Amino acid sequence: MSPQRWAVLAVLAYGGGAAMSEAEPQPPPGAESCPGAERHLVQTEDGATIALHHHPGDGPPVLIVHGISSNHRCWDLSPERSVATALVAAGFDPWLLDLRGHGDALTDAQGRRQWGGWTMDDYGQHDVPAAVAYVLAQTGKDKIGYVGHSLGGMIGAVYASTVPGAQEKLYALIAVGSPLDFSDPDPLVSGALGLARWSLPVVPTDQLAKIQAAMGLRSNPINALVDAALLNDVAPELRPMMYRAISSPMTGGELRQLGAAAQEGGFVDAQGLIDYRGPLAQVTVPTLVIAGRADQIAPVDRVMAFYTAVGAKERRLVIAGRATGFAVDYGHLDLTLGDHAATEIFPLIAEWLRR
Amino acid sequence: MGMLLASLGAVAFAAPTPTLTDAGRALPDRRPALVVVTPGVSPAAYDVWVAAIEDAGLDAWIVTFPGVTWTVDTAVAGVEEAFTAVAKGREAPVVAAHGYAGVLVLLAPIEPAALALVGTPLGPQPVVVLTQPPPGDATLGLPWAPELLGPLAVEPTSGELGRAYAAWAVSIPDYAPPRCRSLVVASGIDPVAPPEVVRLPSQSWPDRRWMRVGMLGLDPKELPHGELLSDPALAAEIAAFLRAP
Repeated sequence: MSPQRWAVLAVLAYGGGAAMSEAEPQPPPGAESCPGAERHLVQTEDGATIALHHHPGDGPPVLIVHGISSNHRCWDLSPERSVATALVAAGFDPWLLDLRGHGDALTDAQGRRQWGGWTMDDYGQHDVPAAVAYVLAQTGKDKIGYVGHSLGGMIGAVYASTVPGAQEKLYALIAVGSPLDFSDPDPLVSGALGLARWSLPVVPTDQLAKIQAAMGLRSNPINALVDAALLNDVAPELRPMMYRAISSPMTGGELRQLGAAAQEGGFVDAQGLIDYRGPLAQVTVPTLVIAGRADQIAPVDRVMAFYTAVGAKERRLVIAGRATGFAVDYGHLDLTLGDHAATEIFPLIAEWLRR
Repeated sequence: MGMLLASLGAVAFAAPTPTLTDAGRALPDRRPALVVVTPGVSPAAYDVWVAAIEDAGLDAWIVTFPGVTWTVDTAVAGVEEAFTAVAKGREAPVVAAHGYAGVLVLLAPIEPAALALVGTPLGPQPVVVLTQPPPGDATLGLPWAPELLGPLAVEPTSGELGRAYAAWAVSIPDYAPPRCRSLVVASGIDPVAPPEVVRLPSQSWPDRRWMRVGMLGLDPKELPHGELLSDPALAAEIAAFLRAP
């Protein structure tokens, strides 16, 4: 086995070892990047708490959802790297969501820690409906746009395709780096999803991110590997702050559901009975799918399944890479907070919402 | 490689003439492995592959397409001629190709014992890509901006082939899936043949192994198109696949 492969396996072991620690994850520093944002805690139908971060704007509401092991800050890292700022300027009213157990919804409204015990299905069938209902009630509007990164896009598919009446509430669906195809599993994914067998309630990826942040700009193989897996176009001096701000724990339920997806070859429900690509064919909401050319978490060939599965007549696939006219080959996090996201990705999102 | 081409016997065909060379030692008792060079790419770019194939215990042969008068049809015929020549009186050859040469191999009526296609587009690109089809009778290299391909030694070829390559970003000619065991390899940052035009179109092939180069394949190196030819570890994996019984 090559030294590089040993190094990758070392990262997995490092992650796995830390996952067994008893460290208590802490909320990310600073709830908002921008002044004027309002935080709302909302109860879901099944008793969980989610958080919404409202950046008031004049225009149609947009719900913006983070990915796995992350929180709303991945879409709102700083005023210059904020889809919220961009959408307010473009004439929209953005609401950024923290799913249960993430960001400012790490604890519930009574301050009790929300400790896993749920799946990705719960996000799509409870958290997103609660967020949509709350925003529509607050704004008095009858439709909302949906933008999800990675897992955020995947649960958008769950919501749009399985929750009764969901489609009627959406005027646009945007999935950014959201894989639905898990066939031909790649070795790294298979290895990482092996953690699913350990039945962990929570994988403290936020603690790992803090370690990554603490390494700062010091170059070492693990630091470089984590960077290479996640991004390709974020200024090095920003990365420590980024890792601290955007990371939240991963739950065992998420991991097990992804393990089932790898086993079934597609994004399936927690029981492995429904491949969401099937019901997605009934979704007619105009859909934009964005994939990053250098995305190591959700590569283009896996994200494309969102585009091919969705039933919408109005749909578009964008591959963000140099060969398609972008400044860089986008990695997974570059799509939401990379150096070129504000000039190349956010305008695509605003344009699609404006249709 | 230039030395090898010059020093070893070559078999000539009707014009336009491909050149078939026993690249390396003569190993008549070993299974032959035919390396098909992409017209427009320098044969020297294949040195690492040839060395790995010989190290794996195969007898490496290489077919090249010198000159600037090639069409898709004549190049495909050249592949068939070379394969037939190498196979004569021996075990069925295995075949390896990089990039567009892989399409020529798929179009050729040959039955290799095993097939390795590395960075070969097997279906159309799902979105418009910025290829640069050449306007004239001759061109140098491939119809892409060199900075997108990474290090890749190139040479002149026909403008007609260059335009065919560019057109293959939109539509790949109909080909029959290989009946032999096959290895398909792609890198996420290869604009010529990214995984979506390699993995997905080959999913129905009967005995196909998929390999993604890079982090997801447990190797932190991301290889652009040119480096798929020059990476020794990848070359060893390809050779091992071809050598396997």
